[in-house]
Amino acid sequence: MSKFVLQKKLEGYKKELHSSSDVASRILEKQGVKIGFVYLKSMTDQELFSNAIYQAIQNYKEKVDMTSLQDKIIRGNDVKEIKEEEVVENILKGSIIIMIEGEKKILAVDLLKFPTRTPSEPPTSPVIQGPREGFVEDIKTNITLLRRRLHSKDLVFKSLNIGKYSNTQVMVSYIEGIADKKIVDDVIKKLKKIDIGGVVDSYYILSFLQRRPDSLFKQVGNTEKPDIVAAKMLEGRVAIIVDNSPIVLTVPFVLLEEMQSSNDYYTNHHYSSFVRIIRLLGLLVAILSPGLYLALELHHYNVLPLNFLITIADTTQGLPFTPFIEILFIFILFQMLYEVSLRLPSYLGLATSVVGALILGDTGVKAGLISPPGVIVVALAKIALYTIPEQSAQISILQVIFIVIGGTLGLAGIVTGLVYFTNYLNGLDSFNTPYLAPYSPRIPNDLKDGIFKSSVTEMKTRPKSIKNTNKVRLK
Amino acid sequence: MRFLKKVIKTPMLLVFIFILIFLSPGQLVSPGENRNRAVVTAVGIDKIDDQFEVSFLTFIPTANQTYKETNSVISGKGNSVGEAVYEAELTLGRTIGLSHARTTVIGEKLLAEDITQCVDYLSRISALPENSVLISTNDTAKEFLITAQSLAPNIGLKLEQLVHYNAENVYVTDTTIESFYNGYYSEEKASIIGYLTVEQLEGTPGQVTTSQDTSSSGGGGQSEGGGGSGGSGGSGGGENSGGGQDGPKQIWNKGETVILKNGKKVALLSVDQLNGINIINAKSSNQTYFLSNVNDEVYKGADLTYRIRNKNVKTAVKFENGHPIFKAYLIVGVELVEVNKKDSRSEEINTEFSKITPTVEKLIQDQIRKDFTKTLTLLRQNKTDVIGIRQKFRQDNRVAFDKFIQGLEDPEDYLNHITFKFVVDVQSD
Amino acid sequence: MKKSISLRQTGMLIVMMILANKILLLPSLLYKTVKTDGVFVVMTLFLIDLLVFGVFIKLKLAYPDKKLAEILEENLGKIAAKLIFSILLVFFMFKVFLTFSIAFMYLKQQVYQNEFAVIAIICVLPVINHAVICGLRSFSRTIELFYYLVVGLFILCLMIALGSFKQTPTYFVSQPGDFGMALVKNVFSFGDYLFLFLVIDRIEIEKKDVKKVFKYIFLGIALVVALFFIYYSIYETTAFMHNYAIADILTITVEFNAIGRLDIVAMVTIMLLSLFQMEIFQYGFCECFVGIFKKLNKVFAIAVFDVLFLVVYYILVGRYETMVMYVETWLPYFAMVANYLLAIVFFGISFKKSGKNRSKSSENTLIFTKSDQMLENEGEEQNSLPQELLESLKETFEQEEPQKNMIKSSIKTKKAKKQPKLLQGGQNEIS
Repeated sequence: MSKFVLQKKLEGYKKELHSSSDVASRILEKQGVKIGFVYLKSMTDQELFSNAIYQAIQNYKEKVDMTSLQDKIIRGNDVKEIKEEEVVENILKGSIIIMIEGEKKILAVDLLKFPTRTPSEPPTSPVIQGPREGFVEDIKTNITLLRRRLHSKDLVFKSLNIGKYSNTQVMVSYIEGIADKKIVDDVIKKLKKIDIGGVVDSYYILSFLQRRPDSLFKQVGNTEKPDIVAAKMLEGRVAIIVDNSPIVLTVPFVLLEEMQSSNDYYTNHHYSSFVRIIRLLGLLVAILSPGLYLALELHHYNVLPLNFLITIADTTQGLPFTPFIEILFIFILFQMLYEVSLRLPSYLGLATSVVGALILGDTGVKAGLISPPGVIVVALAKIALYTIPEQSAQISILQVIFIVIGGTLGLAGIVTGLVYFTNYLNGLDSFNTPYLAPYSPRIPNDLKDGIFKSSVTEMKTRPKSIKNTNKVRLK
Repeated sequence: MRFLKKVIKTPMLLVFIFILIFLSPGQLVSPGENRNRAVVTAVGIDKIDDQFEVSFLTFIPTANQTYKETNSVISGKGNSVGEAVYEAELTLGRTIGLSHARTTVIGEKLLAEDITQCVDYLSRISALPENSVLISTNDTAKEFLITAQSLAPNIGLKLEQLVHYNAENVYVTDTTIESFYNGYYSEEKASIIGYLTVEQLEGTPGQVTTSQDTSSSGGGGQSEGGGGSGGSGGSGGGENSGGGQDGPKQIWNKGETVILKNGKKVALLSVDQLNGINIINAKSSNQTYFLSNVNDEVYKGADLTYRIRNKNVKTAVKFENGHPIFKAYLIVGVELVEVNKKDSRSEEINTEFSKITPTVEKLIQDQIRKDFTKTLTLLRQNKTDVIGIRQKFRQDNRVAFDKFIQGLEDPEDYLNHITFKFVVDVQSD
Repeated sequence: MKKSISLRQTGMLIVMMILANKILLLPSLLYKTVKTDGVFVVMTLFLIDLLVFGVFIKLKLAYPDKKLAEILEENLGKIAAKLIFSILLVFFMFKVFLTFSIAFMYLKQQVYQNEFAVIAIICVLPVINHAVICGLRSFSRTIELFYYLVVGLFILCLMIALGSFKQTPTYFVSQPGDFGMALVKNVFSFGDYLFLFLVIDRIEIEKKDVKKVFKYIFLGIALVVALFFIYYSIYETTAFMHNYAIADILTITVEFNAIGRLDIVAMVTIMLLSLFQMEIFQYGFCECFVGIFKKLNKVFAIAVFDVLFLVVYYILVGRYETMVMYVETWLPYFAMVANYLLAIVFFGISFKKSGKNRSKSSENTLIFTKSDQMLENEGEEQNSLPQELLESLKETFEQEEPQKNMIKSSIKTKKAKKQPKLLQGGQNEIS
């Protein structure tokens, strides 16, 4: 192999990567030995490269060959020998490819480097007291975060690659001896079936794990916190970690999980029970109150207490809108404000809340465009929504549905709607776990971590609603 | 196409879309029940020259930030109550919504006839709550409502509060449409309903004031909207139509009740008479007894007022040789509320001193007996058993009581043939 | 796969069925014939119904894991089985209509001021159809979730009504002839346990658990009797005017005027109860339909039901007098046949079987050792989506599972229960 050949080879790899501008190649000549490097400038640690490899080779007194390279010169790094057809893949993964003219061996040194966040408290689930670490985009860091919590040989990570272009690494993680093997196999089977262009975030594979992918209701748990994932895995759940996503998925999922916040486990359990009741109330108020108000106003004025009726009648008198349109109008207004406050930079957030809440609401009422009870009811529903922030998207849709059926069909519509949705949810088994467990069907053992939470000392067994192979949590 | 597929997969979506397309638009433009209907808080029914006149005290929604209640009185006439209501609806331009009507007033004239002919309409249309209070008045019901309407702004008294107070504390028994029917359909065919009086205020006739400047007089001295409002057709009588021929009127609550037999007025009980029979009603405990000029070892020639604080009533019935006997055991806890004497001794003024002397006990016992007997005589005369004596006997021994009734010349006159025995134990509270 | 329901869910289904048909019209209907003795009529009918339940238990113990169709075909032949299914089909159909029309009248008069017909149909039909498609297990779970709400609201109604309790009414006022007539005429409101026969293979009851079911039954009966008692003592002479017992007992006293009408409590109770009742009986209808026309599936049954429903709706619903006439004239005799004659037939079958099997009974009963949440244990994860229809088909046709496996697994469960700490491995320990 002449120098020309090495050069040509490097050019060949560059071409295979469509001569992207971040592909770099170099040839180092030392004591007549020509050493070629190919790598991605954007993905590798340049400093490490020049210190640990380039300098090391130059400082090496003897003649350089592949064996000495691998065993003596760059042994501190993750060096492996690869085949020729694996070269491009390794370049893309952030390795530096080292070749020596005249030798067939190809070395890949993992010098992957990209900007990462340090684990910080995730904005979606802050705790008052408790661990503040959150997952980051880097899968290795995430695995470390889990390993740190579960120092056990039984903590297993199974790796898969999904995505034709993204080739994203996905880890299925579980605790051997607790998680049900069937669920693990099922998850892996489902993941392997996925043939998708790219997985940018874990949300991309979430739908594939659901029994009803286009259902309104989420059937897979997701969280940003390693302590939650660890706790869930200890209950027999399986976690799915996706590279580049700080959100880790867990299955099986029950609705009750949304009522549980990690705070509940780091505080007095009596208080946790109280808070969970509040959340349940919040859920009901959020879903039902605008629809119920509309139903009463449009269909059942006769069941309203007289004083309440007088207030409503007085305040809605002379409004330009009908009650239905009024509620829809206020609802959309609030939703817009919410959307705006999400998108706006935080320093403008204050301005929107002032404009939104004070100016629009107050002057709207004063100008006689909207009625105070209408504003109160919708605002109440919108605030109650955030007692369960994880479900806010679903609940918002449900609010619209119940506004429509409440306004159109009245109380009967709301009651039948509730029954329908309960029926529907009861059919949504997630990996054979009943969606509304432990209440429907009732599983007495699991009630200890239901709406009423018991102390840790009392929760001696793992939840029965989730299949697991080791029942005993506490002896 | 994809949408269609999705719809077929989830039939409920189809239903929702159906609702959205075919049903929602109708409701979207609907102004709401409370704007389509006139919310009636009180109904009054009169009979004038063989025609019914129905008046409604209607709540009129007004856009305001103070949540003030604005009411007006609307009326209509017709051959039947239904017809009259229809006429009132025409006048008002809204459907009459009776679901919040808490009071139904019957005019004096109708009271003399069978009031079922008008109450029937109200109970047949189920929108009127059965716990709506049924009362009667000495004037026309319309006049009553007009006067009632002016009550609120003047002395802060609402009609409903008044009747509620009466039902709770004075009549003690319910005087609702339901209770009327309950009596009417029972074998006694007697029922009891409340009675409020509308009376001319003392003062210059024709003195009319508007609601804006009448807030001063606490006692309800003046009121607006006095006389009959305009015309027969029942145009919106009310707020500013102060017809002043008769001068301002006021509703007087004297605690009176009317006894109806077969839906007709047979007797008017004063509050004392009512209390006379209420003594055997365990729920009532508000009677006062005024004992004048008591002379014993403690009270020397003092006027005493006692008030019943609590009461334990046990009634028993039995038959002696086929003759029914009604026995009542009363334990009455009384409290001395007032002592009047010119040269009072210290222990008499002492408010904590409330001794029941044998004389006082005797006097109270006599008073109770006397009151009860007085009212009982009235009931006997009218053959109206409004206190459920028949029920008690029948529950005790139906065969014997039926036999007793059959033995009577007039089966309805059974009250006259029942012996009432009272044992009264007066205790200090 | 077989989707069975737990003992607890069975009990709750029974309570719902006991409550639903008897809390609106029945008290006032009974008052018209037998006055306050309506309470005793109801009690008598409940007692007779309990005998039917006894027959059910007997049949269940005799045939622990067989479908009703199989039991009937085995003992009476195919034609008789179809005949029985036809009777049940008609019975359930009219039960749904009756429930619907009573609730409809109540809602129309008391709750909705304006046009209600379309709303009622839109509210009811799709929801109960969906429930039937979701299957027995799904709506049993729903009922389980709503059970405490419904019973709680019911008790709340009774408590509020106690506030206007006047006096104990006079009882024993009716003639024996009237009493008998009232018994016959109102049989149609009863016969709830017939539904259990239909799903006999999917209810997990062991002999030792029967007592637990009785707990539920007696609760249901107690609630209804309490309602009758309170209703009569509040209204007594005017009971004939108040057709909606559970709602009317709330709107009586003056005191409640101030806080508005409380009958919204009753409204929600009635809506929920009626809806569940209709779900249950429509499911019964569809089961019978599939039992008669074995080649047709449940979706077809639902379609037939819906068409029938709409047809009968225009004849019957909303016309109080017509409906009462139908219900009182010829439905009672039909109900007698359905309710009691069939029970006697079932009794005969179970008697025959238990005579045969007295010696080798222990093996069979083991199948039922899986208690409450057997449902969690079984069933593969189903293929993903659209499925509502697919599932219903599956459920209809794949309800059998090899019995031997079940015996094995249940034995395992039993062992596992005894030594909970030693549990390792095995999929069946959720219960």
